[in-house]
Amino acid sequence: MDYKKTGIIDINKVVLPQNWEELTRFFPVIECIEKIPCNPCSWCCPKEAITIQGDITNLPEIDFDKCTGCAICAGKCPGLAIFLVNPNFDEQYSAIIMPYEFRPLPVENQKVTLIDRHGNERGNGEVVKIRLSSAFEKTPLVTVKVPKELIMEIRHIRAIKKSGKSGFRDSGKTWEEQLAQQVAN
Amino acid sequence: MKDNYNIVIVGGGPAGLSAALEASKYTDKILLIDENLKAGGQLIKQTHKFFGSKNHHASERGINIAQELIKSIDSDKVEFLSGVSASGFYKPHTLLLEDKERLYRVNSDKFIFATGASENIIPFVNNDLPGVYGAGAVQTLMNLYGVVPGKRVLMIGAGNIGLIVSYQLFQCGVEIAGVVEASPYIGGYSVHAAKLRRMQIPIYTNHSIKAAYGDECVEKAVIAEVDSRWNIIKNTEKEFDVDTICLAVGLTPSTELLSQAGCDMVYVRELCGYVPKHDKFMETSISGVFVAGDASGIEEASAAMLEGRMAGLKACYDIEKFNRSEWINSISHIEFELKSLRSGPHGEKAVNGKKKIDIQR
Ligand SMILES: Cc1cc2nc3c(=O)[nH]c(=O)nc-3n(C[C@H](O)[C@H](O)[C@H](O)COP(=O)(O)OP(=O)(O)OC[C@H]3O[C@@H](n4cnc5c(N)ncnc54)[C@H](O)[C@@H]3O)c2cc1C
Ligand code: SF4
Ligand code: SF4
Repeated sequence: MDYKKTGIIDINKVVLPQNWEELTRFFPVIECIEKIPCNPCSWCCPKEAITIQGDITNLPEIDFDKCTGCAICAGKCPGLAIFLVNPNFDEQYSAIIMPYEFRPLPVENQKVTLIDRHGNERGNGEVVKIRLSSAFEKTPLVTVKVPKELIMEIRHIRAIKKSGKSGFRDSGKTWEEQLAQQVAN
Repeated sequence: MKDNYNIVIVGGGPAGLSAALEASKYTDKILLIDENLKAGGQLIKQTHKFFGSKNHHASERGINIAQELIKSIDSDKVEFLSGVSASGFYKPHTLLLEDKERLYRVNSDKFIFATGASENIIPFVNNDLPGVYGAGAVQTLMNLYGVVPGKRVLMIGAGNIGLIVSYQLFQCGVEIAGVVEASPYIGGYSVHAAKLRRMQIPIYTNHSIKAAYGDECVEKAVIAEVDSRWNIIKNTEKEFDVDTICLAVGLTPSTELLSQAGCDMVYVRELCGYVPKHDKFMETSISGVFVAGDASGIEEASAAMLEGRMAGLKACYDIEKFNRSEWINSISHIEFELKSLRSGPHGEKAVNGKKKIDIQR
């Protein structure tokens, strides 16, 4: 019950795939370990990889074999509690797909400060991709490259402050404009 | 506007809207009123994605849920009056209404009160200083009118509302000095707490607010540790330089009209105040008078929608002749969903509370 005092969950309570350290694809880490009346993760998954058995308050269960890593669940989850991780994104780095509901959005290739569950700064990472989709209910998903040893700790990013200026470079576009541009690409 | 309606629904939040939607499947001449200018109740201030079940728009943002509910209501059958408040109920079937200009009445045999809840306030030194807000007021300012209440906020209460409003403030670029909670545990869902923690917002459990200070408005807040009976422990004070103190210390069901109507009322701690006794169809001790949503005990929007639908369905029963088997199916489906929603530790309060006000018919 420690997380009811601190608000920070123990990652050891989260179900992970076997030998996850060796995987070279994205899989979801569902950081939802409390019985609450909620179930979007279970019905939004196109592969039916996530299920909630019986009462709506039961915990989500995942079958990693069915999951394609599409990240729809991460976009839908109202608790922003689902992250997708790829432990071996490239030789050197892991990558995390995280929900990020702040403006302005970072841009691709931007360097960012990595933040862990406790809100502590843990060095730098790089944004690889931003995804916007109406399937994500306006929650942007940001993919960030992080050092391999931090893959299960980093859960947030912050823009690196540039001499006096703070925040990300603002593209000056509205959410809808950015989405339209992404669709056009 | 007519004088007589088949059903009159007071309150256009998720409960009232759902009642109107369900009732309009079986009957017409339904009046829905709300004292706000916009229908949607709490939903129109909720920019976050809702938890809850698929059938009740979970994962959609509150603002969109309100719009969808409103769109799906047939305006030929349901007349909506905004900016109108109900100010008195006279048995057996007269409701007094008022708008800016006049006072008038409507008659009906069926009334559904879906009047929601009002915010609580707690005592502390200088709690009347400008800069002390209720969480609902902060949300109205911020999410309806686009105005932030201040630059640095101390949030009091770590229930879902305190956690969610802190997150919304943070999204608007407001700094959160911390979230203060008198009980030893975070009352809201841990997924909401986790969002704040990774933004480095501290949550002080076993703490309460002692005082606010400032010349003309809030400049400082003092909190202190509390014991298990919520008494302040000496010499444990902490000070924060903040310009805003936001209270998210619970809601009380708005049941004045039901009480004035003469419904049997009971004080139930688990439901957060005086609530009318009601049966499983949401009908109170006065036949034809229904309650739904937060007015029948504080829960959340999924429960409010289910209760509203239940009341809407039952109110139609005596008015029209229709295919009863479909109706019975809907009723048992709603009962099943309510039960499932109230399972688990967060639902215990509602289950225990509802037991205390159950009317068996
Ligand atoms: C910050 C916050 C976050 C929330 N998040 C969630 C969530 O994620 N998921 C979830 O399921 N729930 C959530 N809720 C709870 C949910 O919003 C409420 O439980 C729900 O709105 C209750 O619905 P209701 O229809 O009973 O009341 P309300 O929504 O309060 O509506 C009542 C309406 O009645 C009107 N009214 C009252 N008295 C009168 C009168 N005398 N005459 C005329 N009109 C009157 C009011 O103007 C109001 O519009 C949240 C609430 C808050 C505050
Ligand atoms: S990533 Fe896609 S396939 Fe995998 S669990 Fe989530 S929604 Fe299902
Ligand atoms: S949608 Fe998110 S918060 Fe809701 S049950 Fe699934 S993982 Fe938990």
